[in-house]
Amino acid sequence: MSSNLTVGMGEICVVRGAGNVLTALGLGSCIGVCLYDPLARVAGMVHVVLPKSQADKPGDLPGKFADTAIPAIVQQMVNMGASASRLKAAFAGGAQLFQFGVNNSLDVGARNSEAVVEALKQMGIPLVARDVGGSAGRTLRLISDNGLVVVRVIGGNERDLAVLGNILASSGVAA
Amino acid sequence: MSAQPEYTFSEEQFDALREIANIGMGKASSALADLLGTTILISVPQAVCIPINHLSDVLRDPEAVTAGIYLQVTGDVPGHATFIFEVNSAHRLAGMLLGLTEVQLDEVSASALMEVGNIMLSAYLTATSDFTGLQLLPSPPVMAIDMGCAILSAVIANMQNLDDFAVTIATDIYDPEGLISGTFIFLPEPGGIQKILTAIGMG
Repeated sequence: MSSNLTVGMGEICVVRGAGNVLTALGLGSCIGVCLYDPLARVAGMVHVVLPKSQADKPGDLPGKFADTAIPAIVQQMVNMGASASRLKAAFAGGAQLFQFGVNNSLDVGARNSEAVVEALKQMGIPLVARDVGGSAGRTLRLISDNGLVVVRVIGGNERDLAVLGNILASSGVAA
Repeated sequence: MSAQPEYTFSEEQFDALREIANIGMGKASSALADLLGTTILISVPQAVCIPINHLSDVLRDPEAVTAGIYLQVTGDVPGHATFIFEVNSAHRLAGMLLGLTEVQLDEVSASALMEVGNIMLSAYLTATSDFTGLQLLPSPPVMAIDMGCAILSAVIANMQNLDDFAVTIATDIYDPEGLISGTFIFLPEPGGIQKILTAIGMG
């Protein structure tokens, strides 16, 4: 079954098999994290909004926060037949959009990016590529056929960020 | 899911919120009309509680390039107000304000647009204050040119308490010639709506 799914804020989407496309539209300070297991062909994307969960609010969607999103998506992917040890990651987003005027808010984008790196490290998932920072929003796509990760900024063309499937195939041979 | 009771508000309560938004947006749009010397119309406001992953659905085209003017609201009902203008509208708006036909979106036109946001939001908040007796104050505006949904997500990331659901008050603003088209979105922090409802005896 093939599908084209949009991953909204705080949402986790996991699919198995070829022919699926996961999309996070207009990532501002948010981050879209792509994970892929090429052997099981399980692809996942999570749309992270903030770096850290608030410990006193247990009912929250785990996908909203970097520190809870990564363990949650890995669990969902394992439930779909992926192996945590085969997962590779790429992510994009974390921009600082508001360029005009007084901007006294902390740079959430940069903190999100750091928090995702940290969360991936804790789960032992290799980070293959990332496209973060700057002042432009990004649209991120993950193609389930081969783990191709594509990024587009406004006014620009799509460009390939990584092929999560390829990289794993080569490291699989080496092992 | 979230334990917040906000999505359990009754239809009557949402109606009251729509009415308050209607009064506020009426003031905001006439402030803009005075500024431009033209007629500005508003749509019937939406007041809904939506899951944050569907928040960008309030925009007609989430991926369209827009100018987003964002102001924080402080006081009794802390929240986040955003005016999202389709980018051609933003050019026209800035042009009308600066008396120019060709406008680049630079520091000067951005500051003109931010002032528009400021004037409209102040009118909106004053109307809401007068109606409810609550104090609502605008912060200085910031602006970005980007996809509408990207701007909305950057606003969401600024919320102090981000629940899985957000009460969203949204109104479209436009002129009869179809030259200006935008959306106003007010996202109160959790608990703010309850204060408004209590203040008007519908809590």
